[in-house]
Amino acid sequence: MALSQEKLLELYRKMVTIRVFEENTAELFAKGEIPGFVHLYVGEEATAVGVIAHLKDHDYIASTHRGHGHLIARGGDVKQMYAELFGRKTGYCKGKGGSMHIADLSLGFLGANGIVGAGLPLIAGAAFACKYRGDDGVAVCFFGDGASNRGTFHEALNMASIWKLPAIFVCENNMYAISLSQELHQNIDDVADRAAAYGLPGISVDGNDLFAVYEAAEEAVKRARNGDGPTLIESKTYRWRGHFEGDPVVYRTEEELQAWKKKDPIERAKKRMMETGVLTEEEDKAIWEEVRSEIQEGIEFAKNSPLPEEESLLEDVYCE
Amino acid sequence: MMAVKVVMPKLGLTMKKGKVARWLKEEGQEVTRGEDLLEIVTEKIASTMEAPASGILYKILAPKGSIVPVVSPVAVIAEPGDDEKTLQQMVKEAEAELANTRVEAREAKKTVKEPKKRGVDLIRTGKARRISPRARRLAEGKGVDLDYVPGTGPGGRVTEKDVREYLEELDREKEPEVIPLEGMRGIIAERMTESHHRAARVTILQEVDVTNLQDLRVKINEVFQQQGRGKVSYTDLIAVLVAQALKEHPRLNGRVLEDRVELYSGVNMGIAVALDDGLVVPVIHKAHRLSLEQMSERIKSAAQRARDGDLEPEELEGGTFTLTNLGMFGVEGFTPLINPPETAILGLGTISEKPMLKDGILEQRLCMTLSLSFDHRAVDGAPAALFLSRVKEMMENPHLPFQMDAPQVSRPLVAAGRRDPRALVQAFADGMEWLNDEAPDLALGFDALMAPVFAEGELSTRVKELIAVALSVHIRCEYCIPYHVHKAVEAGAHPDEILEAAAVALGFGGGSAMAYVVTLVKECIEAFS
Amino acid sequence: MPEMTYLEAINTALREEMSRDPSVFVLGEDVGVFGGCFGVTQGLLDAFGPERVLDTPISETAIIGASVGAAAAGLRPVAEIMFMDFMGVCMDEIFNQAAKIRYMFGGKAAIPMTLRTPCGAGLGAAAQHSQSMEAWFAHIPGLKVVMPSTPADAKGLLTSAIRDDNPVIFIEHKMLYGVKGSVPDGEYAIPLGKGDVKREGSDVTVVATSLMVHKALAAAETLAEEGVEVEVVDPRCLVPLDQDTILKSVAKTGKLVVVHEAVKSGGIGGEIAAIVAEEGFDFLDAPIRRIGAPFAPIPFASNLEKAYIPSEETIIEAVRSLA
Ligand SMILES: Cc1ncc(C[n+]2csc(CCOP(=O)(O)OP(=O)(O)O)c2C)c(N)n1
Ligand SMILES: [Mg+2]
Repeated sequence: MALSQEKLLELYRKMVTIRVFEENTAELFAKGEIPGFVHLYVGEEATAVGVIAHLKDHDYIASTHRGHGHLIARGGDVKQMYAELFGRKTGYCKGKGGSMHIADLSLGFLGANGIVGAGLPLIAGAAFACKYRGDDGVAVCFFGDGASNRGTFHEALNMASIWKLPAIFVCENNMYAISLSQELHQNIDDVADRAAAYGLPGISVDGNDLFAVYEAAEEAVKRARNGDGPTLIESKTYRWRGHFEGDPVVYRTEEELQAWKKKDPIERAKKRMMETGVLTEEEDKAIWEEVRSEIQEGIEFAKNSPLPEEESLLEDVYCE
Repeated sequence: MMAVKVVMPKLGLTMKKGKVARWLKEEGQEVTRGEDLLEIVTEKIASTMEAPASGILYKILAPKGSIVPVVSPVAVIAEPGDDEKTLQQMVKEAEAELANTRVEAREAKKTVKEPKKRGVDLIRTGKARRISPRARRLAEGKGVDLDYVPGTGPGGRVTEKDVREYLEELDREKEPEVIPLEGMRGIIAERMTESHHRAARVTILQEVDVTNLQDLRVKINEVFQQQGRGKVSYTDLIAVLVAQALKEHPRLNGRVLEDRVELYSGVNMGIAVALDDGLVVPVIHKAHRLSLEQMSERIKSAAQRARDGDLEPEELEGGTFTLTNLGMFGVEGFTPLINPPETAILGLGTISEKPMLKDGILEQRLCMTLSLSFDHRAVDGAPAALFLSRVKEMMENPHLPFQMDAPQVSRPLVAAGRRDPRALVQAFADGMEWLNDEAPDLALGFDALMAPVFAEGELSTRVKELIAVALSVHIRCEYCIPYHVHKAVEAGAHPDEILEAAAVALGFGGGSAMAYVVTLVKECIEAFS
Repeated sequence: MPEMTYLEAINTALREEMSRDPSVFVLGEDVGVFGGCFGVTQGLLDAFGPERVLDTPISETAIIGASVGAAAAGLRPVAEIMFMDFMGVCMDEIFNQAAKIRYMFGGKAAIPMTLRTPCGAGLGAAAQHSQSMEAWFAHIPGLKVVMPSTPADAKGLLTSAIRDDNPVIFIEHKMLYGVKGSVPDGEYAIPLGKGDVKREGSDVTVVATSLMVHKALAAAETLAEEGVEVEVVDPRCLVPLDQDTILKSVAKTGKLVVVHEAVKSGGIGGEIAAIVAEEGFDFLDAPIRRIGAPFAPIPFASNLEKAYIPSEETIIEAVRSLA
């Protein structure tokens, strides 16, 4: 792993951006300013940032209902993201999608998804397209531990394996599928074990360690670009907030949460970067400040944006 | 280029709406300006309308059978370069316009008819209407003909409620509507009974050629319009003429009292005005002193005020003669009751086109029948007839009293030139041309039949025409003889040959054939060789 | 009669049927500790234990497939699909398995299962969490389709659904969970296929389903002030459909408006309109009006979502156009 200082700071800044974006979203939701369902990524930042760090412009990503982090890591525009959360015309999807359907095709971002596990076969298809075109592109699918119980997981992994597709399946194992802890919904410790069933490499990493994720993804992406087929990466992590905003969180203990908070991926990256002299306390402060004001700008932009016109209701149902 | 709206033409003065009898072009078909586009029928006439522009018949708004108010759109013609959007916009507007005028017409009708209660109409409401199944079922059960039921539901649909109300109306109709003979009706009843009982009424009818009067009226109205003055009606014109005639024939301008007849030198002309429910006769005092324009204004104002109920009592008094007009209802002649105690009343009938023989020429003329009722107690038949013929004379030569140039109108239908061979040939040619317009199929068919008959063949055209001369004489056709003599000459026949050919007919027709040979045939040979 | 919410009424029916019949059990995602995504199964885990209240993995295919199998094997599963929008995932299990097994086996098997699922927009949950897809299921022979609009109906119909020996799709509406009403105490079963006149009226019949029943009732109040008396008919079950109640009402009023939240084209409203056109043509005194959502997925933005869902005003307009 040879990361330049510049690249390191960029990744760090992205994690901070995700954190600040999500904390503000939580606040706005609580104030009733954002309608619908919102699933936040707080605590899982290292996975998105560590994996997406390796992607080129022509690569693809399929995201999940918990997708804000993936798009920010990919360089998404927080203004358009907030505008979409607010249901404004200027949003990523003209206000038609909301949190669960944000997409940016210009970034190869095939969208968040309201259907758990729906992204896996889609990304097999995108990977097939990359291979078909022979342009060294790869396709990455993020999904949860819960999603690994859906048929789509098994069908997509098998298909990608036999066709040697340039796909990277990234399981964000945050230990819960809504209220069900992993031990209640599957009889294995490591989702990565399931890779063996389909004949592809499976690797389990500490999802709260940016560098561990980065390394694992580096290897997987290299394999994919080299035409060696798909990889399953399991990133073990934890969501700090409820499944969705408004979740009473009756299914886990406060101690468990506090223990995971001690393993804050941002704090850990910061510590490591300070140790190696990449980051100083002042620089860190400045990064947080800058990110906060960028996020405020995004929120202001969204709030000042117009609502979509009613006529747009019937637009974009079909291609014209 | 801009698409062109085709509108229902106004084909006559009284035409309010026309029915599309037939489209001669289909949507999407090319049309050329001046080409026949559709057939229209009105209460009076059937006529063909030409395309007002060249292009594509883009949209027919009024399909066959629809009745459309005049100047309302019936179709849209697209011209080269029109884009779909503007065309559709235009169609939309035209459709709205058409719907509007129809509603207006209906609305207008409604307001006129309002005072009469909704009744059982004798005129069917038409077929192309929507009828709710429920209404239909009820109607079938009760034996109601839905064509007579007006629809008030969504989109003019006949609903159950409409059928029920119709049935109630039917029930109500068993009871007569009672109109008491009071007020205006009472007065009318009393006066008309009096007239009927007391006056020794005689009515004489006279047909008048009003072609010149019409031309004059058009001319005057053109001038008046240019000068921003009001239009004059037939009644106005005739009132002026009648006032003059009354001055010349005072026997008709009087009042019959108990023991005497009073004749007046001044004319106070009553004008009968029909109201929604009744009739009044405002009097135009000193009518003989009024110019046409004054007359027109006085009559208009009196009629309007009569309808509004604003007439002053003195305006209803002092009449010496009355004019009544039922022409607008299509009535020809009638027997008007005299407005007592006046001596006479003149009824005007409808104006209609009639063929008339004028100086031996059959012409299409406009005619009106005058109905003069007079009280025989006061005046006898001869002076009354004299007065009437004076009115006729003035109406037929109206340019003299109005000091206008004599109209030059001649509308020959068939010119029956007496024995003038050229005129006879011309008459036939004119007739064929007329046929060409009226019944092109027939004319074409005739030509098609004739062409090969007279074509050069084993027999030359010359010989064939000579045979035709003989046959023409034999069948004694006044038109065939000059025609075929002319053709024979054209084909190179010598006068002697023609005479010989004609003489062949003698072998069959004897004396009568000879009469033609020595007269018409001879004249024709002289005329054409 | 106690007052309770629609959600409580469903919960009550589940409890009562589970108490009455040991072959009844509940399965679905987060139905145990969590008490269901909307809280419908709250307390069942404590009352009946994990053997009868099964938290499943995110495996809709297996949830429904297993329900079909368990039902064929003699149990009475009540499965929950968290959102109706997820039913695409288990569609084969519904239409090729549950619906046809009895017929294909010549009547030898029965599939006495109930599938509960919430439909409906109004929460800003966008295109994949707001749909009303009842027409899909009403089109499949072998399924019964129930759509209650009130707490009492929810209890009475769920009770019958669970007792029914056929697969029943029981469609709840998210926006109705909090609606209160009086619900008969104790055993209460409404036969499936029995519609209900929710309001009597002589002028126009409005056939409405689920949440739209409430909008139709509100519209009827407004219209009553204008002197138009609306009869609101709630079919309650789409299969079997109570044609008699609908036809009787149309025979009285002569006018019909059909309202549902689902997309208008291809919706159940078309079926109802067609039945009336076929069987009650002569009753009609005006064209039938259908009200449904526009032909588009459900938008996220609140203003668009509001415009998308058929409203009281739309119903009022439609009735006015006929009255
Ligand atoms: C097919 C489908 N079933 C159920 C749901 C409801 N649902 C949304 S998120 C979620 C849990 C997902 O768990 P996991 O895959 O571990 O992702 P996490 O939320 O933990 O990130 C469920 C059950 C859904 N959206 N789609
Ligand atoms: Mg999870």
